Amino acid sequence: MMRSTRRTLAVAFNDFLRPQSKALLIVWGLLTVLLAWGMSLGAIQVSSGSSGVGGVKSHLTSEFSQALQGAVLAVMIDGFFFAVLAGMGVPRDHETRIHDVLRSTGLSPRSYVAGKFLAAVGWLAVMIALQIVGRIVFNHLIPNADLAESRGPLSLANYARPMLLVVAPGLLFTGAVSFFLGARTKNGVIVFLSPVFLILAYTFLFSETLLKQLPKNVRETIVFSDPTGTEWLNRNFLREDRGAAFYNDTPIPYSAAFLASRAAFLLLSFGLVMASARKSMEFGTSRGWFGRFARRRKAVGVGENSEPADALSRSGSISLAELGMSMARRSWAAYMLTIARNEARHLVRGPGLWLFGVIIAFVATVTALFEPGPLDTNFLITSGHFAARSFGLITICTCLLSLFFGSDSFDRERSARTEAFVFSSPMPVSAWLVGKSLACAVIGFVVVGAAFAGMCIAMLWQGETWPEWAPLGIIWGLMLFPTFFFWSSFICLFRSFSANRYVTLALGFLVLSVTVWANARDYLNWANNWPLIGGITYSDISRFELRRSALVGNRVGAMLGGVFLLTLASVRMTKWQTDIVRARSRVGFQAFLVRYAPAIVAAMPMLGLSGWLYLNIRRGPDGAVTRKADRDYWRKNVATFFEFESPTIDGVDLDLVLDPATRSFRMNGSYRIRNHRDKPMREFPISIGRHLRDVKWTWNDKPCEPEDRSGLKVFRREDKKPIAQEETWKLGFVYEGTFPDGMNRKGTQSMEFVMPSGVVLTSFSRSFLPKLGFEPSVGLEDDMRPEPKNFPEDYYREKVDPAIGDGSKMTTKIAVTVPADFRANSVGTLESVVDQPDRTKKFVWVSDHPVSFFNVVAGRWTETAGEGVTIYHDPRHGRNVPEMLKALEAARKRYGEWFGAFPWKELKLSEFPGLADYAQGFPTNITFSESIGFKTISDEDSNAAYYVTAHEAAHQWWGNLLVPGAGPGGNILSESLANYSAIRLMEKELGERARIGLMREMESRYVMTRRSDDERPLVKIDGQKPTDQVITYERGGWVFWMLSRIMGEKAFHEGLAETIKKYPAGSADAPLVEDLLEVLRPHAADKAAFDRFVDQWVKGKDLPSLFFDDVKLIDGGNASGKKVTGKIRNDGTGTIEAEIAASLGDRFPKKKAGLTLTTSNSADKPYQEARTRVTLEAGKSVDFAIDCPFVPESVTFDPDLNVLMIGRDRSEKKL
Amino acid sequence: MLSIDNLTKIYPGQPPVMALNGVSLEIDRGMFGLLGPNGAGKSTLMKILAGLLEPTSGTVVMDGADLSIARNRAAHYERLGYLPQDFGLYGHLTGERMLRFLLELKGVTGPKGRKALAIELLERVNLAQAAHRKVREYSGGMRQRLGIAQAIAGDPKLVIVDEPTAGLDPEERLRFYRLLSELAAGRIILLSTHIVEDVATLCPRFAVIRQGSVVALTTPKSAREELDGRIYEGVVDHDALPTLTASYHVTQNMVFEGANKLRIYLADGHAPEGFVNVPPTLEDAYLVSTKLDRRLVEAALTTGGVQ
Repeated sequence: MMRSTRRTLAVAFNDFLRPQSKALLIVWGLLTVLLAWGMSLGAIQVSSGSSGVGGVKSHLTSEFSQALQGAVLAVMIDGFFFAVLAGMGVPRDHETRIHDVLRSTGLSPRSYVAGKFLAAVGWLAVMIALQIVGRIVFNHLIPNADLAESRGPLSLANYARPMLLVVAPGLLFTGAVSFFLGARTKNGVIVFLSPVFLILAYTFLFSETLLKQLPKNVRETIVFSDPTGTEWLNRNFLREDRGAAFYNDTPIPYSAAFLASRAAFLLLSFGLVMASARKSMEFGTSRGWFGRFARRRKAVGVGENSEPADALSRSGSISLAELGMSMARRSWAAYMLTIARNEARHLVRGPGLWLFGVIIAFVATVTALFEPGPLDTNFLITSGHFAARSFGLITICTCLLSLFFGSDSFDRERSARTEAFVFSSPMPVSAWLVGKSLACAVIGFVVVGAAFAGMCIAMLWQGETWPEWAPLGIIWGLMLFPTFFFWSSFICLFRSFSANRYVTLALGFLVLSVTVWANARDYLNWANNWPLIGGITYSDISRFELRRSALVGNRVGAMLGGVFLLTLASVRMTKWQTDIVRARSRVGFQAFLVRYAPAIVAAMPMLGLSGWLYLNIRRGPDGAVTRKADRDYWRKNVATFFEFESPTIDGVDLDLVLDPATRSFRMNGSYRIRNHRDKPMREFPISIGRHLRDVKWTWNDKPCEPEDRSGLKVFRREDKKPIAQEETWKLGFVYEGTFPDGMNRKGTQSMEFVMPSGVVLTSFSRSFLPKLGFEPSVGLEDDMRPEPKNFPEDYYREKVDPAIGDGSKMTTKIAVTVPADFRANSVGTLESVVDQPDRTKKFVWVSDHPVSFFNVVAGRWTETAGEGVTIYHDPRHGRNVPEMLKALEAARKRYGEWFGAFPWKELKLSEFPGLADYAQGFPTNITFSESIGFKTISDEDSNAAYYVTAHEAAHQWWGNLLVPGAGPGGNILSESLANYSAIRLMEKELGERARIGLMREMESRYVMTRRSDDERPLVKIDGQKPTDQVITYERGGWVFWMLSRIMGEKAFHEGLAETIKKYPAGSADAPLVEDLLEVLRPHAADKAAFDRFVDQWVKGKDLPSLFFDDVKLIDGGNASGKKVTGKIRNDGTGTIEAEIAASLGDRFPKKKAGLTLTTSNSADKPYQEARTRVTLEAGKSVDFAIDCPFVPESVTFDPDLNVLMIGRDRSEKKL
Repeated sequence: MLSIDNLTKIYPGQPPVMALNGVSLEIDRGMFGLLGPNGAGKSTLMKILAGLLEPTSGTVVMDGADLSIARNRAAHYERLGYLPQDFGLYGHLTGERMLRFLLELKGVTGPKGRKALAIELLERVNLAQAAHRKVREYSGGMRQRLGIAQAIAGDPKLVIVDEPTAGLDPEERLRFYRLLSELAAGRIILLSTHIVEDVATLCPRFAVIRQGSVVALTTPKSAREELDGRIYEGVVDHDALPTLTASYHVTQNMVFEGANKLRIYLADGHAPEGFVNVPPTLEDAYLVSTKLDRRLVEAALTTGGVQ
């Protein structure tokens, strides 16, 4: 025993002190230190705390943050390095053929593997220690000044405990798997692949997308099988924000079950290492159990092919001359193909690539099927959309696989000792490099093929679409290939620097890490984004029309970069091993130029193109030139015009000529402006877009020249007299423009555009129209953005400006000229359509009721009309149109009954290319992205198409007929009430199940996104804080639903209708939420209940958190039934009243058709339930008892979803 | 003609190793042997001649083309057959496929195509029966023969074979001798070995290299003649061995039937008692050249004007 321990330690110390892959360790250490610094800058921390200045911040140094940082880094970095280090121990010894010698020393396989693994664990311990020391140094000794509030006092336990209990067991397991595979197969590629397999499995298996499909009990158990521990942390502590104070001051309360799972991982790791002992020292088992079948088959062959005795004794002719051999000069391409073919054979013969292919196909299938769309509905799988969505997965998988296979491939001659044969042949070294790179393309083919197979399986499953070759070819071919080529060339270059595969691997990892880091820090742009991260926005309607030149430039740049790297690698690498002594004597600029001339020449096109891209980005809409101009605009005008009250627009007359083919437009229009202020004004400012050209102005049809104040146009009367109160004048404008104009930094979405396939322009922005007033948000840098304004409690009593638009209530006449195959929609009624001689059409839209803002949208559409409503959509996107049409019809009818008559003649919904994911409800003209509802698949529980349509239709009332005020609680009147309207409409039209499904999703989104320290009551929400949006939409919608139940639906709707009457668009005083409450209160029958509710949910930010205790099923004491007893506890805030139901069977059984991973034993039983009602105060618990004339299976708190709360998952308990 | 002029190769390190030290040779068509003990610098010289390693100084000129010029090296590879001392093969390929791959790289083909040529070459090295077996299943000798097959493929003007007979059984060694002697007509064959028998059998000329320097350049016959009358053989007791080895230049010390059988080199003076003059072998010449003081070697082997 002692001897074997000594031997184990001898092996461990030898490996630890003299590691064979120093390069790997150096890069690992370097990355560890760099990432410790990166973490101290707040790259990863618990998402909690206040975003406000001086507010409580979540600490980077808390145990929770440290656990999260450690777990993320374990997946991203440490897992790879440790798995490679541990996994390669045995295969390396196998390559050096030292096993026979070791065995002859009496070293047992168990001692051998234990020693090898222990050495790797030693280095892991060093790196973990380095990580801890690095973080302590960067957090406490040389801390970042900007994050002073995000650091707590130094506590070694905060650093060490999560590393030991959360991170280390998972890492050891990853390394043990890799070690096992390495020892069994002796195959380096499989070792390299194993961490990729595992990390893909960790991130995919424990993704919310997949977990949501699993039954609840499976979901609760599976968190313990996550080696990284993050799922356990998320599910128990992080997903529902508990406030920064909790995370900062509380040690992680590790549960016994979690600790047991960690111990299980350690045992499993030990078992894997021991299980690898048997084959570890065998010679010639390079294929391990993968090759067992093949060896069995060949075992017969060895005997058959052994040399016959007569052959050995043959003494016949050995003449070579008679063979007629000749030397044929081969082309470079022929040599390259020979190498490529040979390498491809190597690649495809291994099982790793194919196993990986199967995994990618599986991931692709499941991702495609369960990809969450709006409202958590699934998406209809279309080729282009899927190809674009999977672009990142394919890129990262291919890059990692290419790196592993490439490093192995470039090392093959050395490790197989065929260098002398290969390099003493006439084959040019560049052919060798390119041939190897080309063979790596096989990986790309396999990965893309696997993703394609996954997509086809998912499509077959959905049974609605077929593969389309064009988008697949463009995205997976033209766009992906340059990435592969560039990356393969990079690997070639690494190889030219060092023949050591670990150096290649380490350098590759470094480049990938730097790229990911640069992307996270937003340093990537079209000129340097070689993997095209985040650069693809796909639309069925508009295929890469947006920023096409930038995209093409980027892809060509990647190809040119690849050529440069390959050339440089070819120059650096020669078959002739250079003599170092001579090389030193050759150092000099001239020698350098002579040697590197081909690489310098190859760099020229790449640098030229990159320079062109860089200059365009610089001049583009978010480039340095524009940012400087915007800053000047802000600085020049903020003091003078920040509080300037603009005049109002009474009428708009536009003649807009759109030329989608050239992405441009011409405008000839005018505003009828009125000084509605209570005093004369000397001047007024107008902001216009920088993309407008040849701008000419007229004042009452006479040319005028406004003062230019760094882009802000300031108009004064020609006679310099002040503009009198109620004076009206006509401001004319003529210009041309292209929108979006110029190249942005990277491929972000665009909310407005003129594209060959469609047009969206709105009066919200300066895209195609001048805007009255100064825009204080333009030119204001993010880090100087002020805190939200502190409004007085009774601010709503003051005169409040509108939040959207300039408060105008205007008439519009908008003429839009488009190509003959287009249709153009705008607000109001279509007055005329005139065919023009130049194969264009002019659509003239006139407002039949005043509007506050307007838009123009154009496209090649099919028209589907209903009662008073019409949907204009792409002919290919008709799937959900009947559902959307029903929603539009019902909305127009029901909302009209509830909130007041719809004043306009028609209600349109127009689809636009999915270059941005949003819908907007302009008066009579809703714009709707293709990606938000046209391609979703609805079911009984979630119907995104219906919901989004109902929400946007509600904006005809909440946003258009009533324009909310620009103050706290203003937007609640628009978005919260639009959401309430959609909830109520779905309840009426689709039933209780659809309503519950929608509210469940809203609640879940709210609970997951809110930050308890940052949350403000609805009356204070002004859109300035990061979580204001989710509070406005989700909490707001829920609160109005609950209020409608307190007041009664009818009374509530009467109150809402009265509010619109009281505050019609264009009112001098725009309403805030408290104005609404003042109108609603008289309609409430129980004023006290109304006030209590308002105090708790509107003026307060209470949120209950529910727990069941001691729930039991007992004999009911009656003849037929049972009784359910228990306690329900509210650990949150606020008092609630809700029902508890004991039930048997599924209330809303899933239809058999469709895809679900969940199963129910009670699917066929008729649903029965019994209920009771409880009132529950904060921090209290109440007993409940429900008599059931049946044997219930479960008990559910708030079964109808009438109370907003945390812990919906806990609200149902199986009996 | 292969001209090697004042070739030096230093491997940097602590301390640096001088693998070659001013090696100069003129090698004409035919077989040329390079004899030397392990670590003498033979393989380094072979690699330089194969165009795989840059010398620290000196030149190698093949048929008038200086190999330090990249263009000349490219042409040199086309005329080269090279069997390195230590080489591997792709274990997962069959012998035929492996050879075909190397033929493709060398640009060698036959009248019936590359595949047929590969089979015929394998037949020449007696591997036809194993042509379709995976190389990983080959014995050491079979691998060596596969290496030989690729080295002799085509029409190489220079064939460099580094320790080619290592691992071959006597039968195969004879077969290989025959192959090389057939090839030797019209081209240079450079045979690097420490096995004297190989040189004795095949090479009309050879050089002895020692510690990076050429210490002898001669023919087998001359080498033997130069030592004629200077080699003595005798049997001694174990106790007398230290005294004898200290006093004489012992070339060989063999244990024969339990006794110590010694061969000594004696340029002049008296032989020890019991020792008789015997005809020298090439092995004596080699061992004299590798064991004796360099000046003595020059006196013993290069005074015959062989250079």
